Amino acid sequence: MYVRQPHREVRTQPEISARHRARAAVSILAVSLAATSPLAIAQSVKPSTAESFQQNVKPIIDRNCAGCHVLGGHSGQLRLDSLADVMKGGEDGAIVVFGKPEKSLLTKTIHYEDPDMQMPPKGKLSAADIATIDNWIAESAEPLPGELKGNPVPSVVAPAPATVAPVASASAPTASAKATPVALNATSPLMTAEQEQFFETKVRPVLVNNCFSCHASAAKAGLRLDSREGVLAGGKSGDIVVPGHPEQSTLSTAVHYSDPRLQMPPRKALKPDEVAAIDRWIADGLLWPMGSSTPAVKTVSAAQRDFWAFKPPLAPAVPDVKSAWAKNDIDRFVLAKLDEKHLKPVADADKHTLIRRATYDLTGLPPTPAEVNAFIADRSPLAYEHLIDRLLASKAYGERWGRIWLDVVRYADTSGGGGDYPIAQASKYRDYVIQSFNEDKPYDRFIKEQIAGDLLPSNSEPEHWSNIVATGYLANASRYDGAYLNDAVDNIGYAFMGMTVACARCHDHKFDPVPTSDYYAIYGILQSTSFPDPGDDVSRRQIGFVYRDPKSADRQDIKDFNAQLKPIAGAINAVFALPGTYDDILPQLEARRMNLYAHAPEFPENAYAVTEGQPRQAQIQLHGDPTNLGEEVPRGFLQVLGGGPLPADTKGSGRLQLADWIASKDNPLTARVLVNRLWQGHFGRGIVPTPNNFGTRGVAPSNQALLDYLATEFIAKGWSIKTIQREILLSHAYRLSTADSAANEEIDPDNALIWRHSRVRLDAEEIRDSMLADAKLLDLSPAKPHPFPPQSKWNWEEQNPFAPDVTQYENDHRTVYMMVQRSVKHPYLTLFDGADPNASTEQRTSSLTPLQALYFMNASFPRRCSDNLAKQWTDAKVADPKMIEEAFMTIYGRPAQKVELDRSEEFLKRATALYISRSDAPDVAHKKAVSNFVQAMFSTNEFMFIE
Amino acid sequence: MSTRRRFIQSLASASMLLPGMMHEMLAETAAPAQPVDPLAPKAPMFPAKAKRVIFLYMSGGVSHVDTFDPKPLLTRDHGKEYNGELLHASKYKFSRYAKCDTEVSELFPNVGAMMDDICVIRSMKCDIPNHSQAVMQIHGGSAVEARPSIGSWVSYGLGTYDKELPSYMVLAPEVPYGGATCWDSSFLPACHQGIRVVPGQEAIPNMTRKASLEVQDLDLGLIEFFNRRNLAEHDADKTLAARIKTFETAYGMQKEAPDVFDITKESDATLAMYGITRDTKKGFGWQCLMARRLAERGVRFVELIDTGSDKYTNWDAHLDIKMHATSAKKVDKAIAGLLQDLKSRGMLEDTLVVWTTEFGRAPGDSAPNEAGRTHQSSVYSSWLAGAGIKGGITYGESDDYGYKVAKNECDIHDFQATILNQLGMDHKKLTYRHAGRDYRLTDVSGRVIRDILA
Repeated sequence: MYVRQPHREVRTQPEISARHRARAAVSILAVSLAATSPLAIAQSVKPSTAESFQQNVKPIIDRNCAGCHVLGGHSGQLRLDSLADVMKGGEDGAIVVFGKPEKSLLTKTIHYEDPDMQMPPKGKLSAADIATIDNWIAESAEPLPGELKGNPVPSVVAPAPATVAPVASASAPTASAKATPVALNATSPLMTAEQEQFFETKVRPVLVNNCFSCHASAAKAGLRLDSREGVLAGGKSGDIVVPGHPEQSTLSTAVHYSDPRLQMPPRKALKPDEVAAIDRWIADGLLWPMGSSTPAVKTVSAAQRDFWAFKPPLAPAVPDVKSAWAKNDIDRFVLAKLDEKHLKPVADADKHTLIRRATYDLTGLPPTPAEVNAFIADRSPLAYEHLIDRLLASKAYGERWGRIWLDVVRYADTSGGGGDYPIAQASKYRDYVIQSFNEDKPYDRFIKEQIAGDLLPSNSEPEHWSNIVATGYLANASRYDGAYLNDAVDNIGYAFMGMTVACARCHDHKFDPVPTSDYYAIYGILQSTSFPDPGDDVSRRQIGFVYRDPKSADRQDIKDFNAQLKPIAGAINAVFALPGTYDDILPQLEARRMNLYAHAPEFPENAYAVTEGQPRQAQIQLHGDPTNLGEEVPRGFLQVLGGGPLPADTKGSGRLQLADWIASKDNPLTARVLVNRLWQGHFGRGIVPTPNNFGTRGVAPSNQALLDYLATEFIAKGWSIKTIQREILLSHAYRLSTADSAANEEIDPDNALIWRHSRVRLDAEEIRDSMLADAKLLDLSPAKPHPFPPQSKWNWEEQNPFAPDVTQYENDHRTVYMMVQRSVKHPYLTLFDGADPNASTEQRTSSLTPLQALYFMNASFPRRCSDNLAKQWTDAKVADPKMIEEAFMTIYGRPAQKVELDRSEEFLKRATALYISRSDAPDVAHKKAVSNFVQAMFSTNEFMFIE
Repeated sequence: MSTRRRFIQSLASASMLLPGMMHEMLAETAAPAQPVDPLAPKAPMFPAKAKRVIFLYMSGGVSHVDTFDPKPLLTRDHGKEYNGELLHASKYKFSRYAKCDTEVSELFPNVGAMMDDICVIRSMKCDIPNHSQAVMQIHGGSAVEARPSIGSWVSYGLGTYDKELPSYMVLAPEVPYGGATCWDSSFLPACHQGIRVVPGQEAIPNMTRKASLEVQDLDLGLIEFFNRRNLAEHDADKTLAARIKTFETAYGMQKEAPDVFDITKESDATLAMYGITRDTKKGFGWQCLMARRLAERGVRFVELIDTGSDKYTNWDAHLDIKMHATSAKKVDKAIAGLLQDLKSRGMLEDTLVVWTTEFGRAPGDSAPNEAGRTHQSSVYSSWLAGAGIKGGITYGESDDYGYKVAKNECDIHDFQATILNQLGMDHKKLTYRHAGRDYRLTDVSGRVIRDILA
C-alpha cells in the first residue's frame, strides 16, 4: 500500500501543519468558486500590462509561487507561468480583476486577509512584493487576447511606466513604501515634518508595542493596525475609525477603556498620554507617513558602545620587562601580567615534550620516532625554530587547523532537514578550508571569500571557482535551503565576531547592543541571496547548486532532462497538495521520476554555494516567528561594530559590503576573535575563554593588552595566521612544562595567565589519527568523495531519513575527512566529544567517561591498529626490548625507562605464556601479546594527554 | 564486596600492583566520591519524592480521544461538521476502571486496571504538530533547537548512585523522529547523555569483552602501572586520576551489565506480569522489566521508547486509527506489569513513572471517510504515576470534542517542571551556563502542577 502522506511535514514552515495546508487548499477552491465573476472589463488595453507583469510580477511569482503553480504543478488547477495563465485563473475562476485589486482573489490571498486562504502558504510575501503585485493589478488594464497568444512576452522590456512601482531594489529601498497604496481610501494626505515626528515618536511605538502582536499579520478579528489602509479597512465587526473624529471612533473607545465590553489592549490599558496620542492622531486625520525611515531601527548609543570589546584594539606599548626570560614581545606581555599577580613561571618543558606538544598543536598528529630523534640530535640554537617552520609548512597543518574552523562553522556532509539528504559537494568547501589554512590565506581574504567569494574579482578561472566554493560557508550555515536563514545569521555572529547575535532574533539583545533591527539588517542581506537546496522528500534532488561553467545550464541534454522532469515533479507536488489518498498515482509518478534520474545526463561540476538573489529588505519577525512579520528594516551590519545601513547605491544583495564590514581592520572584534582562537588552540584556553562570546556576558580577557597586541600584530602582518602562530610557538610562554606550583595554583588555579603549560586531552580526531599514524595505517592520499548513493535511489523522507551503513564510509584517511551527518552524530565522534554539526563548537569538551574506557578495552578499531603494528614488528622479528623501545618512541615520543622496559618485558612474557596456555602456537601467542601491549599503551593517560 | 574492590583485588592478584598502591586504592573506595566525578550523586535541592524516573515515550503521537480522554459528544456528533471539519467518533469503547472510575478506552485494559495509581493529564499541549519538533520539545523543552534531554538534565542535577552504570539509559529498538537528539546531552557534559541500549544486541557499546578475563586483567594491570607512574609525576592533576577511574567503572560495567541484562533469575510470576518468557530478549515487556532492573541498580533516568519513525508500525495512525490497537497491544500489559512490579517491591513510592507521546491526534478531518487521524498539538493526554503523584485522578480537560484545552492547560514546560519537582529540583534553579546565558530545561516558563501532588 502506498499512501499520499497527508502528514508530510511542511518542511520550511513547521508552524503550519500539513492538515492546515490541506484545509487552506480546499478553502481556496471554495473561495475561487465564490469569486467567479467573469467581469468583462471594458478598458482600453495598455501595452504595459504584459511588460510590467514580466518585469515586476513574474520574478515574484518565480520566487514564491512556482513551486506549486507551474506547468504540471498547478495546485488548485492554477498556473502562474505566464500572464495568460494568470488571466485564466484556477479551475473555478479568475484570480485577477484588472484595475480592482480589492476584487481580485490574488490580492486577498497574498494579503493574508482570510486565515484560511493565505498564499504563499509558507510565509507571507514581503510588503514590497505585495505592493508590487497590488500596483500591477491596480494600474493595469486587461490585455487583449491577441497580446497573450503567439507573442511571447519579451523578457527585457522598456522601462516600466512610472505608475508601476518597481520591485524593491537596493537602489530604491523605499520604493515599495512609496508605491501608491492600493486599498480604498488608503492614500495618506501629505504630512508635515512635525506630524511625521509625532507619529513616529508617539503613535507608532504605541501601536508596535501594544497592538501588533495581534493586529499585524496575525490580524485578529480581521483587523490590522500596521498600515493606514489596515486601520481604515477595519475588522470583522466593522470600521474602527472615523478620521478626524476620535469621539466617533471605536478605536478611541477601546483604548479609553470606557466600554467594559470593548477594552484594548485587553490585558493592560494604555497610559493616558498614549491614549491622548491615539486620539490626536485620529483627530489629525490618521496621518501615516509613507516611505519614511522605519523607527523599528534602533540606534546603538555611545554608552552602549562603551565596552572594551566594542572599541577597536590599539597596539599597546610593549611592557618594559627586563628579564631575560622573555624571548619575544608575547613573553613581555605574559610576564608583565605574571609579575603583577606575583606568579612565577615554572621550568621549561624538555625537548621530547616540546616536539610532541608542537607537533600535535600544529598538525594533530604525533611526531614519528625519526622526527623525535632528529630534533633531539639537533643541537643548533635554531633547532626549535626549524621544527616550528617545518610543522607550519606541512600538509597536516591545514588538516588540523581547518578542522578547528569547521567546528566553528559546524560543517556537515548532509542537509539535516527532513530526510537528511547527502551533499556530496559539501566536501569541496571542507577541502577549500584546509587548503586556505595551508596557503596561509590572509584571514580578511578568507572571510571575504566565504561571505561573497562569487562577487570578488579574480585572476583566473580556478581562482574564481575556488571563491565560489568558499561561499559554501553560507550554504552550510543555513538550513532548509535558506528557509532558516537565522542559522546563518547566528553563525556569522559566532564565527567571525564572537557575538551572540542570535539572541537578537526574537527581541533586542538583552545584554549586548544588538537591536533586533540589526539582526534583520544582516538577515535581509541573506534574504537577498539565493541559497542552494540539497533536496528533500518532495524534490528528491539538488536545486540551485552553482555550476562551475555558467553555460552548463544551457546544455541541451540538461535542458531536455529538466523539461522531462518538470511535469513529473509538478504532478508530484500537485498530488502532495491535494487532500485525500492517492495510493495509485504517486508510486507511478515516483517510478517515472526515479527512472528519469537513473538516466540523467552527467551533470557538470557544481558546488554547494550561493549566488545573488533578488535584493530586498527583511521584515522583522516578531518574537522570531517567521509568520508574524513586523516592519521592514534596511539591510546593513551591526552598528556596534561600525556598521550601519548599506550605502544607498548598493547593487545586489549587500554580501560584498557585509564581507568588507566583517573583514575590516576597524571592526573591533574580527581580529581579536581569531587570534583568541589561535591562542586557545595552543594553550587549551583562550585569553577570552568564551571564544564565541566577546559580549558583556562573555568572560573578560585574562590579559587584554596581550590580546590587543596579537590582534594589532595580526592586522599589521597582513592577517597572516601562520605568522601569529609562529610568534606564539616561539614564545617562552609556550615552552613551559606542565609542572605544578602550589603557590601559583593558589593565585591562578585555571592557569589563565600562563605560568605553566596546561595539560590537554587529545581530541577525537587526534586519538583516531594517532592510532592510524602510529600503526602505519594512515592513508595520506587525497580523500575521495564520499560514496553516496546515486540520485536514482534518493527516496528518503522524514520517516525514512538517509541512514547510511557507516562502515561503507569508513576509510583510513584522517578523521577530518570522515563523513559527518548533520542529523545523526557519528558514534565515535560522540564518544570523544567531536564537534556538534548542529551548533558552532567554540571549544571541544574533554570528557572522560567509562564508555571511552570500554572503547579502548573492547572496540575493534584500537585492536586493528594494535594488530597491524604488532604484525610489523613480529614479522620483522624485532626482539622484545627493541620493540618496546620503538613502541615508546612511537606512542609516547620518548625512550622507555629501565623500570618501564622491565615491566613491559614481563608483561609480554606473561601474556605470551597465557596465550600459549590457551593452545596458541608460540609465534601467534607472541604476536597477540605484542598487540595487547600496544593496545594497552594506547589506553594510557600518557597517550591520551599532551603535556 | 563491591565490584570495584573485586576489581582491584583481581588486579592485585593478576598483575603486580605494588602492595602500597593497592592499599591506597582500596582506601579510596571507602572515601566519598571525589568532586571531579561529574556523575557523583548530588543531593536534591529539597526533599524529593522520586529518586528516579522511568520515562515511557510512545513514538508517533497517541490519539487521546481513543485512549485516555473519552469524548461522548464526539461520539454523539459523529459525522457532523465542526469548524470546517467532519467529526469522527472514536472506534474504541471507553469504560470506568479501578476504584477511581477513571475512564480509559479498551485499548489499555491493563493500564486501566492500574488507574488508582495513575494521574491522567488530559490537557497536555505542545507547540508544533510535526514529529521532529514535538519529539525534541517533549525531551529538551524546545521545539526549535536541540537542547539537552530531560534525562541529561536529571543526570546533571542528581548524578547517579551506582558507579557501575550510566546515569541515563535509553532502551529503544529503533531510532525515533529526531534521532539521537532525543537523549543527547547537547551542551551539558557528555557524561550526561543517554546511553542507548538496543534490545537484542550488545546492550552497551563495546561492553563485550574481547579478550579473556585473565588477558584483560593483565592488560589493565599494565595500563594501571603506566598510569600510576604518570600520575606520580603529576600528582596534583585531578583529570589524570579521573581517567584512571573511568577504567575501573568500565570494568565494573562490563562485569555488571551482563548480569543486569540477564533476566533468567526472575520468577515466573514476575515474567508473567510483563507478559514475557525467560528467553525473551526484546519487546516492550522486556524493556519494562529492564527498566525496573536498571532502576533498582541506581540508574537515575530510564527511558523506554516503543517504536521508531515508521508510520506503519508506530502510533502515527494517519492510515487507519485501527492501527492503534496493534500499537497498544504491544505495550499495555507490559506497562501495567511494570507498575505492579514496582508497587509490589515498594519501588513505586520513589520511582516516578511517566507515560507520554509527542502530540495527540485530531478528532475530525476534512474528509468524511477518513479512517486515520492527523497530528494535533493543541491538546492530548499523558499520565504520571508513583513518587508522590496523586493516583486515581485526572487533571485538566479538553473541549467537548478534544480539539483544544478547555481547562487547566499543562504545557510541556509545566509537565517537565513537575517531573523535576518530584525529583527535588526547582526547574528554575536547575541551570547550566552556555553561550553566555543560563539555560533551563523549561526555558523561561513552566509551573509545577501542584494539584496532582499527593
